[in-house]
Amino acid sequence: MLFRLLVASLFVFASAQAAADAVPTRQEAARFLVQASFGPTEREIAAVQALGYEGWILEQFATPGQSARARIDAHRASEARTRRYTFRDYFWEQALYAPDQLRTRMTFALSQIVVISADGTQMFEAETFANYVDMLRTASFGSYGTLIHDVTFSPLMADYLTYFKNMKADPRTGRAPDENYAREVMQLFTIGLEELNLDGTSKGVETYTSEDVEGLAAVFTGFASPFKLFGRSRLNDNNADAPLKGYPAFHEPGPKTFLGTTIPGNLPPEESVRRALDHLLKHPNVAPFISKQLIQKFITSNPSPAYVERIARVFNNGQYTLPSGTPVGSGDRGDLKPVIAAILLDPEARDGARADDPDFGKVREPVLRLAHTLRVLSDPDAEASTTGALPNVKTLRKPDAMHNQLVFSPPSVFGFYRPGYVAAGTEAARQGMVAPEMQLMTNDHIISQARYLTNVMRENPPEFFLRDDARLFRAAERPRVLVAELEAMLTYGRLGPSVRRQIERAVAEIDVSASGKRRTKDLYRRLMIATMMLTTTPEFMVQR
Amino acid sequence: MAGCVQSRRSFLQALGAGLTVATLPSGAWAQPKDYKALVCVTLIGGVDSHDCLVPVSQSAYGSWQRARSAMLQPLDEGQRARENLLTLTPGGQGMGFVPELSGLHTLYERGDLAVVANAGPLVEPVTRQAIADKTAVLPPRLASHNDQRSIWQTNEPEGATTGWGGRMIDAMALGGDFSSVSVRRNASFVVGQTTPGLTINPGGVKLPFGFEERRFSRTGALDDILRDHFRGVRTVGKGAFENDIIALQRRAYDTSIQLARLVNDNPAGADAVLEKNPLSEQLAMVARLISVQRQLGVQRQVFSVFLSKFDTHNNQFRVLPGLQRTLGDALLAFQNSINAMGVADQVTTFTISDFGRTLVSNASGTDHGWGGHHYVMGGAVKGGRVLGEVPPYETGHPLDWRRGAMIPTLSIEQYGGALGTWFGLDADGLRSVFPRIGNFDADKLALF
Repeated sequence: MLFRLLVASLFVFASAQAAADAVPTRQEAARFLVQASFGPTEREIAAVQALGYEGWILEQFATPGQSARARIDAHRASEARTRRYTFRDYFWEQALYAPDQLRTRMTFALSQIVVISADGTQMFEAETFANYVDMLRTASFGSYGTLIHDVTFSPLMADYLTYFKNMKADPRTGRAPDENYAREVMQLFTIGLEELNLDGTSKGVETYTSEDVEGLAAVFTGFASPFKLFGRSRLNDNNADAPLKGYPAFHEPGPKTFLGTTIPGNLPPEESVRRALDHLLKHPNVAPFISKQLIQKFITSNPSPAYVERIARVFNNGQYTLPSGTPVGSGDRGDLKPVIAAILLDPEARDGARADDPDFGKVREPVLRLAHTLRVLSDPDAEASTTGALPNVKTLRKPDAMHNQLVFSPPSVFGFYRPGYVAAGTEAARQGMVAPEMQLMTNDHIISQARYLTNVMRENPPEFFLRDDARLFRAAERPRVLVAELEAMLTYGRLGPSVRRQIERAVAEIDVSASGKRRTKDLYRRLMIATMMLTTTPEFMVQR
Repeated sequence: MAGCVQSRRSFLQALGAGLTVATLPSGAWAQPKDYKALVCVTLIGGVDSHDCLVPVSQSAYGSWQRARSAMLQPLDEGQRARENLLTLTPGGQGMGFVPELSGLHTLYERGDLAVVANAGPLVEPVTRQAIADKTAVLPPRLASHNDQRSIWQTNEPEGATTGWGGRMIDAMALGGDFSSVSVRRNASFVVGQTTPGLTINPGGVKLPFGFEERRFSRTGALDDILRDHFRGVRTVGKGAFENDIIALQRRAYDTSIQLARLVNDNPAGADAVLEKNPLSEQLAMVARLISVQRQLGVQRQVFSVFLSKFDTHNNQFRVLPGLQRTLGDALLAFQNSINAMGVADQVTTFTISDFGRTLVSNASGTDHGWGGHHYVMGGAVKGGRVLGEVPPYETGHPLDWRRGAMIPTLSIEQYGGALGTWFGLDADGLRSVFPRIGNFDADKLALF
């Protein structure tokens, strides 16, 4: 905390000019934090108001945070029980309490673009998955290109997309190389299916053919974990930290042609891969393809082409000049620091008038809605720990609990939902809008979310959140005060008076005239009802 | 329903009137003659048809074995031995099912199941030569999982707003909340302009918060407020997303309350549930919904269920046999349940998948292809036949797209068109469901 204040005070000066232009209102700060973090808290609202948007972003860049691997190691060192899914405890600790909220949000966004699902791999230790999470963390304020290189050499990805021990063609048996990674690294991680203009609109021409897939598939042959013999190499927890090694005898020796380039024959396997990935990353599609998806994850599902183009330019230039004149970025293509700054500070993201346009905004995904809710209910002074056992997140870790969005476990490399998903049968669909997160909106999800929230609230206090519940319990004595306090943080002034009154009436229906333990229980029921009703309003479920 | 002013109790009574399963005389689920249902089973990931239907003659089997030798080496000898194949007789074009598909074999032999060979997305009939000459008009985004699955369900790549199941309901003007149901996951196949599609959990229908039998507050007033909150009329009007959330919520609440009373604790379909078989649980829910078709007031229904993990790029022989067992057993149990309910002629079940796979294998699996073999079952189906042409199990033949992946000889329009005609659509109806059906011989697939 002390460190944060120190950093904060430095940036107060740097962003003095921006802040002088207009101090964000509480509501504006809360809206910004819904876009940029896992949800507003009193402390972050104060920070945004003190630093301005720019200052807050710069402060976030300078806040180091806690690596997944170091945190899991500390958890294990505490002799707490460590299981394969302990990295989920880490995720929730970070989402709810980490000071580096923007990095953590970006990590979560990248985990849904460069996907490895914990359910599709054979690795059993939390440490292994933490390594992958840390690759994403590094890339959050680092290089997208480096991420693609690092992930390609990760044994976890090789296991997940099946190129671990993938072999060159064998004319004797007719065996061909596995094409899985070649196809998905193009379709999902770099260039997508259709040639794009810089503004993200399609030129109507497909980017690659099956011949390109076959050519690139030959590149990803002959890789396994470091071992004496390729044939004996096995993926296990001893070698899971080591990048893949190329075994020349099993790597396609001939030249490999794809997307207008030829990787010469007889290069070391690692070099073939590096050249192939560099060729992909140079493709003009990468900037609009990735930029648009990041805008969709943070701001709006249907950004204007001009917005996409502005961000794609920043992606290509590796640099962005903040409105105050301060430059951000290394100048290297794909540096995500200037990209995320530009996404959050773009007029389309900040303009309050644009926020009211019917086609603006996005349906919020379950993880973000829940994290936001729990942050509002949490002790305002709670911080993520760097030592000792991770909090036991209980319900949040159970496979069925998250209703189609168990963090780091999407059903396939295509993620929890598609960026181009159109929710057939809806008004959004009739208006030509994509609605990615609506892919998760089943009847069962809608019915369950209210129950689930109250279950979490019943099960978890006081260990996991609400560690200091005095403030909200006090508010719960008066329905109007309780609803006002929660509304300010959950829907930040957007709720109409009739809905507000309806929630107040519901709260008032719960009698708190008893005393002692019974009274505490009744106050808690008031808190549950108010929270459950507020978080099932369209004002909360849709981000604008 | 005049929602807001009604008391909760009268609201529930209105919903429950005449609907309680327990009060129905036994056998009350006998359907009116004009009821029909289509059940679409999506095999997610792209099923390897080449390892479902295997040729039984010595020479053709040898050719299949040669094409798969890289992958067959680690295989347990017996699993794919020629003598263990389940031969399809007669009318099976010399094919057999692999042993794990014994459920499908039983259905085939009983005449309840037909095999449709080599169907897939097409814009028009194409030849290998035209593809090589680059004169062929090909479907977009071939071999892309999400897009090909979408084309199978809707005729368009990802982003389609209706599916052909939903459009059939539209064309017959029989849309309603319960006419289109997907189990567990949203599926665009069932969605039409007039039928938004309902997604239901196979485990049963949860009652919404505040609607349990147990009251939430002593006076009941809180329950009424919650009902208004979740399904009361609200005009936010900000934009499509808000309106959609309100509409989805209201529909979720209304349909859950109706369905919970009809479906939960309803024993229909229980005989279709098999242990550790998630597909069977989904199909059992379909059977339960079919059993209360009359109470739901629907004459036509389209359903969507799925089984995933067919994308067998590696370890195919560790993964696929289990999936095949799951598929075959679940379909057999479901058909038996439907037969026992006395609606065999009114329910037709069929498979789709992202794509077929390459015949040529990699070290332990197969890659994305195009055409694939599919299964159609039901009492109305003229079963016990393999329809269409099974291409040879080798490479370089006129239907080899690449690496032995098949160029389809039947389009989704022909496949869906045969199903649609049985469902009750006329030629105009079919054209509205399948705009490109005119590019193909609509009578080629005589399934019924």
